Amino acid sequence: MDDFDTQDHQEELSIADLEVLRAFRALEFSTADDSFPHETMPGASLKDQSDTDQSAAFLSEEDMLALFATEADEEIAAMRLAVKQLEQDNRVDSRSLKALKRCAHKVAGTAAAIGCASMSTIARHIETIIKLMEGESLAFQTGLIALFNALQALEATLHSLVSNGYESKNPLLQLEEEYKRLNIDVHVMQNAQISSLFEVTDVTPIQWLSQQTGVLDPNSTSLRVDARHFNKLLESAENFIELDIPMEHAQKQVETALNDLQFAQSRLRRLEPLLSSLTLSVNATLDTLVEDAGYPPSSLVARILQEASIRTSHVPQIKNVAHPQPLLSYEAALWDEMEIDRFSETNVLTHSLSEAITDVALATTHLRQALAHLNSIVVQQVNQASTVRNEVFLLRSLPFNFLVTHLQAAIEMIAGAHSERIQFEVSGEAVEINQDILEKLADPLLELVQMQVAEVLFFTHRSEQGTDQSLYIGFNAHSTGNEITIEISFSQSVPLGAVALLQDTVHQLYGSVTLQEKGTGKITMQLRLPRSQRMIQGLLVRAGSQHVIVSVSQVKRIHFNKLGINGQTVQDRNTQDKLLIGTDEIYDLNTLLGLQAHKQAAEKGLQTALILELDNPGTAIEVDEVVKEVDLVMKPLSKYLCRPGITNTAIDADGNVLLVLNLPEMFRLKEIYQQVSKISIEVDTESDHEQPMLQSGPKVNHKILIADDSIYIRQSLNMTLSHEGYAVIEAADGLQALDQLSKESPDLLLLDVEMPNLNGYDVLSVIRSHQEFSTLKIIMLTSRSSEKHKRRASELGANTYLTKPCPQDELLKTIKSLFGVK
Amino acid sequence: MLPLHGLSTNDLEKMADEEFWNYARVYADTVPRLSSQERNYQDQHLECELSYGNCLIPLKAIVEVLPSPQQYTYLPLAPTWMRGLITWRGEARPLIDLDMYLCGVSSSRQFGMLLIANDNEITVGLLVPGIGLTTTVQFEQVHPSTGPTVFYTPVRAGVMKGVYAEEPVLDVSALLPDVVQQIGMAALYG
Repeated sequence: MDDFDTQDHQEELSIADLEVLRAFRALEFSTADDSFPHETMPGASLKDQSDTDQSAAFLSEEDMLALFATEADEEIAAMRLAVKQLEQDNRVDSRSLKALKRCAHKVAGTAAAIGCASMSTIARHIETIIKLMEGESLAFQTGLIALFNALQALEATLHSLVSNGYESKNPLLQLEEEYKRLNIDVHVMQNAQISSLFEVTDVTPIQWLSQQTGVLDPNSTSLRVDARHFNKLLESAENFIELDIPMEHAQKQVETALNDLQFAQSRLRRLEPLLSSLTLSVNATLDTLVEDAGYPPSSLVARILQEASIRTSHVPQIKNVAHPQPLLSYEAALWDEMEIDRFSETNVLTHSLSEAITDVALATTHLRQALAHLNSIVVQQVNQASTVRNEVFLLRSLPFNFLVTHLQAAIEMIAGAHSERIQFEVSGEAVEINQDILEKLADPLLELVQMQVAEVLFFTHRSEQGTDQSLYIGFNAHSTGNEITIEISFSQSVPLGAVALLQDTVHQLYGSVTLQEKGTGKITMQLRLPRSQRMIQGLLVRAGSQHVIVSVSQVKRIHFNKLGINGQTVQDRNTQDKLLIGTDEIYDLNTLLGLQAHKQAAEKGLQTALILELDNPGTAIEVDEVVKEVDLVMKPLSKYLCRPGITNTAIDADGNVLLVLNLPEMFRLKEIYQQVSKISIEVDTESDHEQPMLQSGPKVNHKILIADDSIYIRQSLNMTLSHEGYAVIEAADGLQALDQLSKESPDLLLLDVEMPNLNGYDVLSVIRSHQEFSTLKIIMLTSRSSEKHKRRASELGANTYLTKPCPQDELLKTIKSLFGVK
Repeated sequence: MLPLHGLSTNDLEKMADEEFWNYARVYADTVPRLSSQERNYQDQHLECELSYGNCLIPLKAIVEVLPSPQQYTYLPLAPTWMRGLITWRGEARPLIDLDMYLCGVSSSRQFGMLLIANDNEITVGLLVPGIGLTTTVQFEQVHPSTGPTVFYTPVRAGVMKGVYAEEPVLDVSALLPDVVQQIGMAALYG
């Protein structure tokens, strides 16, 4: 059910609040003479509105302030009710929290628009507190206290505004002091841009300790951890895992050394008999000489005497003594230290060599045993590293169900009374998925299902009167190795805009999306993603002398053509190559990277290619070699070194940098760069020529739809635009906007982002996926000022983007330029 | 304003111009100076051999001197003077051909040394054909460059402090941000 529909909202309001609303409605149809209802004015110091010159169709500043004060008062009352309800519910998933969030956002935006900075800041603090509570970074009870304090501050500020005509800063300062006391640093949280669904925040250890879940819930199995310490642990674990590669490298080096040693040993062994035979023959010659000269037959003395005789040519007369004959080799082998005189010098040398060979053999055996031991330790280390990696991964994981629950809630909220027409099926809820991945997927998946539901409930239903169509949405998750696969099935065709959005996100996550049509008429989207964004399971690919990494999740298959294609023209070969691998486009990785292209590539035909998981057209990347599959830790590149589709590197065992390629991103961003240069040329050309015949003055017959949940914003815009001669219609939420679009066919839509039911992006996506609205001009008018939002609006098809508070002149000028009016 | 070296603001206002500047000079001399050892280190420069002669790089900006790397990784859309990426202390760092960066021509000589230069949290590898001795630069004798020479192209004039003993002195605190900026821009414009 929708929390924010008018019915529910009115139930939350007091009689006085309803009077205010009725007064606003009356104001919408008021004539020029109508005066603003006095009874809605809070405080006596605001000037009497009866003096206001309504005939000019403008409200004075005081009127605007009064209108804002009334609306803010109404929102604060609603927030009070929501906080009370939240206290009663005593759980963070209470619907009241959502109502509170929406009211706070509305006040923040409207207050900023009117220039009430303190009120806007307090309201943003409320939004931050809610986010912290939702992300369980802030204990529920502490969050409640913080919310009560914020509401008090908001009321006090509003009171000062009403009483004095300007807002006091004191309530905000006091509130921030109180937050400091509670160890809540709202500014840090706001800067960190915490996601609405899941967050890892950078809060102080004291805060974490004070918010131990275990304290609140003794049965809880979860433990709060300081995010900074956790990230350090993660880093250490990754460094530990990274040691695998150098260890394996060192292991290989030892193995090589052992092989060298064994080789040397075998050479020595071969030398041993050779030496024996050689020494025997030398001894025989020597013996002859000695016999002739009467030298002692053996030993060092004999050699010295021999050398001396050669020098002096004098043969000494030596007494013919009995001397040991050199032993035969088998005799020499029977070595006996006690009978050393029996052995000649050559026998001793041979024996020493033999002993050395034995020593080397023994050392080799010991080394082999040590290597076996090292191998077993390395295996254990690799297994342990794998376990650590998996456990660290689990620390950052949530079950898939966590995301599905949010999606289901969103579907129910949109479908409202039509919920029974939606069949929702989930399997693989328990599959653990990295929080970073879930966080990034949450928004595009939400967009996808919201658009699909809106499509079926509002457009298909209208066009096919009488046929009450139902919608099947199925989710399935499973993991294989280091890869997660999420399958999303729909019974209807999927809006391409939402698919594109999802595809972009998945590609950024080094994953891929494929669309499959099942025989049952169901459309299934298959998302393949790496399990972690820090580790990459990739293919080590060679392009020229360069090695790069490509995510396994982005490759459908590898094409090997061992034979090649010979004897055909280059064109024929290209065509045949494409047919061979069944793709429309073949890129050469060398060319893509700007490396020297292979001049012979065309001649030799396609040898190795990676067939990518891109839906349409099929794309292949020709590479020189797929070396092997690797698991590596990714290291982000410094911003200035990042290139289209290259934002991470990995370091190999030799310390070389390996670029991690995100090929779909490379294709997409490469085209964007080409477009940027083209656009800049076109802009320069245009600047030389005046726009042809711009008309002056407003065109009365242009119809503008304002879609904004703030009555104040709608009122002020309505008056401004009506005064300029435009026909104005209004919508208070996304669904009303779509309804008005189909009924009224406006020329231009002023679209807020944060709205109940369908948000501005959802509405934009639905509109741009329908041809009948192709001429509708859309201006996003929102308090969201970040580049991310602007880029998203642009990608979804908004004509322009303005930030609240937007000066009236700028708004009118933008509208006129879109209508081609000077 | 607080009294300045015993004088008040009024005293300063009453001074004649010449008297004021004399006082300012004396006061400036009282600023604590670096010890001779510190100053010596500050002034130490390493002589680097390039195609057109030597240049001087402040020693305090050089973190490590290594042999020229055997391998480096090519980065697409990079300026011509950026050879690629190398790993230094576990991180990818750009490898700059200093000859090519300064004069726009690739060195005909083999690169012999890799200087790891760091300034203000920017770390890059500078490839040079060779290095010479360290020299103590007398900054008072560093003259501004009279104009572009064959040694460096006009666009690189901003990364030179001046000329000392006919050798250009590199200003690393200007060079490294320029390198980073140009590498970043190359990703957009090729």
